[in-house]
Amino acid sequence: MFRLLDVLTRAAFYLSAVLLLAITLIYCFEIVSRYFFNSPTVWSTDTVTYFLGAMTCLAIPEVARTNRHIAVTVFVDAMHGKSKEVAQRVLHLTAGVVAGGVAWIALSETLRLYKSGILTLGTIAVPKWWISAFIPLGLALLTLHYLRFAIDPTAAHVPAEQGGE
Amino acid sequence: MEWYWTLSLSLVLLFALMATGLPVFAAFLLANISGVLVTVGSRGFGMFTNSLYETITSESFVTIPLFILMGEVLFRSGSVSVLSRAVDVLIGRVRGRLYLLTLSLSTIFGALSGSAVAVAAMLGRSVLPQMTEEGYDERLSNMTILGGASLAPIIPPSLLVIVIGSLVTNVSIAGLLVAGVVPGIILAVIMAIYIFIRVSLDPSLAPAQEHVVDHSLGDRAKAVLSMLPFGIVIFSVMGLILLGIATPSEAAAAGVVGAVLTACVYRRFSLAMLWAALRSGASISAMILMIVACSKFFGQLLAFFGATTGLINAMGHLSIDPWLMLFILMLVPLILCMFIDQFAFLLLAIPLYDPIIRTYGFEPMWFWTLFLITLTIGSLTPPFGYTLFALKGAAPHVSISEVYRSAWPVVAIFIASLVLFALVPVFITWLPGLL
Amino acid sequence: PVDNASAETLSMLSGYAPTFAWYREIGPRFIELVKEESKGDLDIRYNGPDTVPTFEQFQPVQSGVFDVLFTHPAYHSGTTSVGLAIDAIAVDPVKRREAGVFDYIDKHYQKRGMKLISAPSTGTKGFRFYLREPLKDDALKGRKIRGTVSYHPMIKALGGAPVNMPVSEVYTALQRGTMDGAAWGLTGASDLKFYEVAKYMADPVFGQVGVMIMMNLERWNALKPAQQKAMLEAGRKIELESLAHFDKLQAEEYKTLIGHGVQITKFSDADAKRLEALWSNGVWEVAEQVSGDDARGLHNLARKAGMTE
Ligand code: NA
Ligand code: NA
Repeated sequence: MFRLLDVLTRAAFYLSAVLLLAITLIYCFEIVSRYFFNSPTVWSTDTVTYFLGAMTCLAIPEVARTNRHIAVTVFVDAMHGKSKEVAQRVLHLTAGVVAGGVAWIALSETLRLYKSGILTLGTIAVPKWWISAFIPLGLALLTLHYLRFAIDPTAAHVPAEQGGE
Repeated sequence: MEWYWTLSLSLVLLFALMATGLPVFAAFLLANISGVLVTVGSRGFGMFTNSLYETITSESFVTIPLFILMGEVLFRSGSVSVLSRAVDVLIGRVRGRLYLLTLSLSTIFGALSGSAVAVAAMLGRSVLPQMTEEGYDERLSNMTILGGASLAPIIPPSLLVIVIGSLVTNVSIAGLLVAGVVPGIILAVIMAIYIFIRVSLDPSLAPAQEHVVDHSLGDRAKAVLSMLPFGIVIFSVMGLILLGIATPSEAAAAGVVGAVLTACVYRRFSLAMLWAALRSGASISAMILMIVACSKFFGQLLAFFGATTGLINAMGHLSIDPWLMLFILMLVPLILCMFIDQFAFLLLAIPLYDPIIRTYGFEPMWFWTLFLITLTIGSLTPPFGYTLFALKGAAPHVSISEVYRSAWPVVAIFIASLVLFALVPVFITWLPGLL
Repeated sequence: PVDNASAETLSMLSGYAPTFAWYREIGPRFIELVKEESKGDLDIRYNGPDTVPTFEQFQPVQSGVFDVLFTHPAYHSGTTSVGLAIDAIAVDPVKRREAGVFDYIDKHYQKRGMKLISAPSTGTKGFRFYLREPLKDDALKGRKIRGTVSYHPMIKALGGAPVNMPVSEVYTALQRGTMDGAAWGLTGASDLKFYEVAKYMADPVFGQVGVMIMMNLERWNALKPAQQKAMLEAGRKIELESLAHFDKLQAEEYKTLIGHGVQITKFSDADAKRLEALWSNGVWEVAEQVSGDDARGLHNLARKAGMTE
C-alpha cells in the first residue's frame, strides 16, 4: 500500500518539475514575443501563476516523503532513546492529523467552487477549482506520509542520496 | 478581549507550537485553524483556503523557483567551480577569498532580484556546496550567504520598495529605490571587514593555503576570460531589466536560460543535469512556499482580531522623545515580522505609521529606508524568518540551529548599521539628492 | 455628533487601504451617513486588505464572516461579471435607479446571497492613458500598454498591444520602457508615482468607474426595517455626493500631475470620438463572456434607457 503512495508521490513530483520547466519557457516566450514581435500574449502571466500553484502542491508530498519539511527541532534533537521516538511519533501524528484536516477543508472548498462555477480573475478565466484542486490533492498525499511516519518512524529516515536532490 | 491579550496569546501559542518540533507549516496551520474555529467557526474555512490559494498563485513568488533553478544549473554545470578557480588565480594570496567572492556574488544577485529568499536559496544551491567542498567553515559560509542575500530587498530592484513607495504619499519611488544603494554597499563592506577579521584571528575558518604560485600575466588573462561566460547570466537578468526588455520576474527565467547557455559553453550541459536541477528547484521552492502560504493567514487573523491595529494605534498615542519613538517604530516590525508576512504588515502598518511620522517630522526618505532595512532584519532573525528557512531548505544537511547560529552575527551587523544610518542620514539621502 | 453606546456594529471588508482615494473619499463618509440616518443605531467597522486579500473578499462576506463589502466588481468578476458592467453605463445615479439598472444588479446579487446597497461613481469620467512618449497621428500603434482585461479590446482597436501585468510591476516596467504606457484611473495615478516614469497623459479621458457597497443578504434580512432604510438612504446619498466630490478631486489630481511636469498629449479627433464606444463595448464583451444572459439582460435594459452603447 505504501508502494502505491510512493508511486503517486513520485508521479506528482515529476509533474511538478515539468511545470517548473514550463514556467521558465512561458516567460521566455513572452519576452521574445513582446519585445521582438510586439505581440505580448494575454495568457502568459495567468498561466505562470496557475502553474506555480500546481507546482507547489505537487512537490510537497515528495518533500514530506523525504522528511524535509522545515521544523525547529532544537528540543527534539536534545532528546534520546525511547522518549525521542515517542516525541517524534506524536509530532508526525499531529502533523498528519492537522494536514489531513486542512486537506478536507480545502476539498470541501474546492467542491463549492466546482458547484458554483466560480472562475479565476485572470485575463484567461478558467474554473477556479482546476487550480484549487491541487491543494487538497497535495495535502492528502502529504498527510499519508506523516501518518506512515507515525506508524513506522524508520520510514522518516531517508538516506541522503534519495532525499538529497 | 483587549488587543494586547489577543496579540500576546497568539504569539505565545505559535511560538510554543513551533518549539515542539512540529513542521513549521503544520504549526501555522494548527494555530490558524484553531483561530478560525474559536472566532467565526466553519464559515471561515473559505477565507482560510483562499489565503493558501492566493499565496501559491502569486506572481511575486515565481522568482523563487526560477532563482533556485538558476543556482542549480550554475553549480551542476561547474560554472561555480570555474569561477572559484579563476578567483584563486587572481587573488590567491587572500585568505578566505571564497567568502569575499560569495559576498560580491550576493551583492550582484541582490541587484538582479528583489527577493532575499530567492537569492539565499540560489546561493545555498550553488556557492555553498562549492565552499563546503573546498573546506570553508560552514557557519561563516552560511553567515555570508544570509547577509549577502539580505541585501536583495535593499539594493534596487526591490518589490518591497515599490510597495512602500506606493502606499506612502510624500516620497518618490525612484528616490527610495536609489536610497538603498549606499546603505547596501556599506553593509556589504562591513560584512567583508567582519569576515576579514574573523579569518585573520582564526585561520582555520578558511582552508589551508596551498603552495601559492605567482601566476603569469597570461594565466591571469585566462582566468578573467574563463569568468566571461558567467557574464551571460548577469546580462540575461540585469541587462534585460535595464534595457526594458523584461520585467524582473521574467528576467529570472532569462537567467535560467543564461545559466544553461553557460553550461553549454563549459561543455557540461546534459538533459540529466537539467532534470535533476528542475526536480531540486521544484522541491526546495515548494518547501519554502508551503511555509509562506501557511503563515499568511496568521497575519490575517491578527488583523481580524484588531491586534496589530491596536498595537500601532497605541504607539501613535504615545507622546515621547523622537529617538525613543523611532526605536519603537523599528522594534514593532522587527518583532511582528518574525511571525507575519512582510507585505501584509506593510498594508496594515503604513497607513498607521504615516501620520506618526509626520507628527514627529521624520524625513520620509530616511525613515522609510530605515524601515525597509528593519523589515529585512525581521526575516533573518531567529526563530522565524523566510530568509533563514530559504537557506535551510536549500541546504538540508545544515541543521536549523546551525542556521540560527549563523544568523546572529548578520543580525548584529545589520542592527549596528541601522543605528549608523539613523545617526548619519546622509548615507541614505545623498544619492537620491542627486536625482 | 450621533453616538449611541447601544449601536449595532456591522463589520465591513474593504478592498482598499484606508488611505487609498477610492476608500478615503467614500468609506468614512458613508459610515457617517449610516450613523446619521439610523440616528446612531448602526455603526460600521473597517477591515482592510490585510485582513482578507482584495481579490478574495466576496466569499467571506457571502458566507457571513463579514457583513458589508466595499469593493470594485472586477475583484469578484470570476463569481459574476454583472456588477462589472456598470462601468459601461452612464454615471447619472438618479437615472440609473429610475431606469431599473440598480434594481437589476441588486436582484442578480441577491440570488448570490448579497444585497446591493450603493454604487457610487468616482467621478463623471473614469480613465485616461499615461504614456512615456507623446501621441502621434497613429494612436497607440506599436505601443505596449498595460491594462486589465476590460481595456484589451480598446487598446487593440487603437493599434496597441495590450499587456496584462500586476500593479506591482507597472512602475518598473514604465521606468525601464518594458511598457510604453498604462491605462489608469483619474484618481490614484499620483499615489502610484506614475508621474516619475510616464511624462505624458492622453486627452480625452473616457469611460467611468465606481465602487460598490454590498451586504450579506441574511444579515440584511435580519436588520430592523428602520435600519434597512437608513442603509439604503445612506447609499443613495453617497452616490449623489461622491460624483461631484470626485470631479473636484480629479481636477486636483490633474494639477498635481501637471505640477510634476506631466504634459498633455492628444488623440486625433477621429480617435477621440470613438474612445467612449470602445471602452463600453470592451466592458460589455468581458461581462457577457463570463455572465452570459444575465449580462445581456442588463445590456438591453441600459441600452433602452440610452445609457450605454
Ligand atoms: Na534587489
Ligand atoms: Na524573524
